[in-house]
Amino acid sequence: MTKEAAQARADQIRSFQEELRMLDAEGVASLDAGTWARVRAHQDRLLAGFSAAWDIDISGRQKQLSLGMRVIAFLGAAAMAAAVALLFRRIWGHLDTPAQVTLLIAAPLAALGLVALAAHRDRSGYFATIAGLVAFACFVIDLALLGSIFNVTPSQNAFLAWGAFGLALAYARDLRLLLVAGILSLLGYLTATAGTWHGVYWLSAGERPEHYILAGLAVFALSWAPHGGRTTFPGTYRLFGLLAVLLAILVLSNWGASSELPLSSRAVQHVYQVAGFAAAAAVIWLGVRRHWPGTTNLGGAFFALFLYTRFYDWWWAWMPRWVFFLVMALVAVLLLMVLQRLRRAAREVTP
Amino acid sequence: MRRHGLLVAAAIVLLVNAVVLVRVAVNRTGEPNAVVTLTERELPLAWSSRSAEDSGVALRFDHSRSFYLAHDDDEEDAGDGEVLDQARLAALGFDVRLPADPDEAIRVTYRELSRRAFAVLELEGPRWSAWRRRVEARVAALDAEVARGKETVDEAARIRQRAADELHSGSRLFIVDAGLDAAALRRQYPDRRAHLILPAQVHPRLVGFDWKHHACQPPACRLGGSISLLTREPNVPKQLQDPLRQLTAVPGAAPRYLVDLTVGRNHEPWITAIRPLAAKQ
Repeated sequence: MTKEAAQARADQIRSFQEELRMLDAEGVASLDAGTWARVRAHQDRLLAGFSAAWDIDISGRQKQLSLGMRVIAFLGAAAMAAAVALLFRRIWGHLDTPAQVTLLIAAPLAALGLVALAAHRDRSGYFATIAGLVAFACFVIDLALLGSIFNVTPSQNAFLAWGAFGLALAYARDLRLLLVAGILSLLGYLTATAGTWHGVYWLSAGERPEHYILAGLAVFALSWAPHGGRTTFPGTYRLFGLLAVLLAILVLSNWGASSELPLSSRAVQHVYQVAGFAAAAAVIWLGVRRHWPGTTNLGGAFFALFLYTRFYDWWWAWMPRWVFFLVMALVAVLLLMVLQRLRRAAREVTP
Repeated sequence: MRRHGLLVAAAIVLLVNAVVLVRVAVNRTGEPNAVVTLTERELPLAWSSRSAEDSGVALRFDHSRSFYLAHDDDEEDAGDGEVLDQARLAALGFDVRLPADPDEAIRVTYRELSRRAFAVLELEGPRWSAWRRRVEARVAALDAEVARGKETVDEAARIRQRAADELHSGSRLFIVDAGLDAAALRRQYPDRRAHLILPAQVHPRLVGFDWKHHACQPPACRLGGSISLLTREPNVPKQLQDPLRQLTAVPGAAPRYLVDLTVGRNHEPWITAIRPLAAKQ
C-alpha cells in the first residue's frame, strides 16, 4: 500500500464514522453496541497502522495543518536550494580543480544521504522533500559548474540527466515536488531535442511553441506508464503535459509569427484559435469520461481563456466597456449551465 | 524502485559525472586542434569575474570591433555580413530566398532560428591588417572632414582617441568563416597557431531592409546573420588566478598579459598559462 492509498482509506473511515453518527442521530439506522465496538476497534487498528507507517492525517484538523506544512516545506526547499546554489558560486573559485570536481560530485551524493536520513526519521515526508530539492539543486549545480570549469559546449542532454535524477528521487520517496522538477526538466529536454531534429540550435528551439506541444504530448503519454501504485503521479504528468500543450496553443493563437507552419501569421492564428477550442473541449471531455477532475478543471480554465481572449480581440475596441463585461458575465453563466449539465450527466452515468 | 530509488539516483550522479569527465579527458588527449597565444586584447577579464557573489574567474573571447569606427552614421550594422554571404548561409541550412513582399520578407526572416555551426577565428591575420588600414584611413581623413564641416573638432579628437585605443588595445581576433564540418574547416585553415575553430551559433537577421519606405529590394535586402561563440568565457583555473590578479592589478591600459590557450579534439578550449606581456619578447 502507498501513502496516498492509506490516506484515501483513512478519509473513507472518517467519512463512514461521521455518516454513521448522522444516521444514528436522525434515527434512520444504528449499529448495535457490539458491532460498533468491533468496527471501531478494527478501524482504529487500521488508522494506528497507517499513522505508524506513513504519518498520514487522521483528523480534519491534522489535514488543515498538513496543507500549511506543505506550503512551508515548498518554501523551505526552494530557499535551501537557492542557499546551496549561491554558496557554491561564492566558494568554488577558491578551490583547485580536483577539489572543485570532488565537491561537485560529493554534494548531490551527500544530499541523497540526507534524503534517506530524513525519510527514515520523519515519515510525513516534509523534511525528505526539502532534502530532495537540495539534492536536485546540487546536481544541477554539479553539471552547470563542471561545464564551466572544463569549458564544455552546452547541450540539452543536461536536462535529460536532471530529469532522470528528479524522477528517480520522486519515485524513491514519493516526493511530488521532485516529480514536478523531473517533469519540467524532461519537458525542457524534449522541447530542445525536437528543435535539433531540423538543425536548430537547442536553446532556440523554445522559440517555436509547436516544440512544446510535442514535448507536452510525450509527457502526457507517460501518465499511462506504470507508477507502482503512486495514485497522484499520473495526474501530475497529465497536468504538466496538457499545460504545456494548451499554453503553446494559447501563445500561437495570439502570436502566429512564432509558428513552424508555412502559413501567414493571421492564418496560423486562426488555425490555432480553432485548435485551442477543440483541444480544451477534448481535455474537458477526457477529464469527465475518465473521472480526472484536475484534467477537467484545466480544460475548463483554458476554454474560458481562449474564449475571453477572442472576445477581447473582437469586441474590446468598439464595445462600450459595461456591455463588454456584461457579455463576459453572461458567457460565464452560460458556461456554468453547460458544465452543470455535464456534471448531471456524469452523476447519472457514475454508479 | 522504492527500495533502490536512491541508489538509482546516486548511480545517475556518478554515471553522468563520469561521462562528462571522460569527455573532457578525450578532448584534452591527442593532438590539440589549436594552440595559440592571445593577449588581454582578445581575452579580457569576464564581467562575471567582477561579481562579489561569484568567486569563479573567467576570461572573455573578444572578437568585436568598435562600432563607432566600423560604421558611418548612415551605415547599417550587417552583423558578420562579410563572413556570412548567401552561399555560406545556405550551406549552414538557412533558406536565403526572401519574398518580394516586405512583410513576408520580415516574417520569413523571423521564422529562421539560430543554427549550430563552427566558427573560424583568425588571430592577427589579413582581416586584422585590413581593419587596421581602415581605421588609419579614417583618422587620416579627419582633417579634411573637419574642413568640410562633416565632423566638429571635438568629434574628430574623440575619433582619434578611439582609433588609438582600438589599434593599441582592440582585439585582433576576427571571425573569418563558419561551417558545419569542423574537419573541413581545419583543412581549409591548417595553421593551428593562427586559426581557432570553436563551436558557435549563427543568428539570422534581415539586412538592407529599407525601413523608411518599408521595402525589401534585393540584392541589398537579404538574409544576413551574426555569429556568437558557445563557449564565450573560458575558465581560469585556481593555479592561474594569482598571476592574473597580479598582472591586472598593475594600472594601465590593456594589453598587460599573454594567455596560452589550447583547443582540444572536441573543439573545447582551456587556458594553460597566463604570463606577463613582456614574456613574449
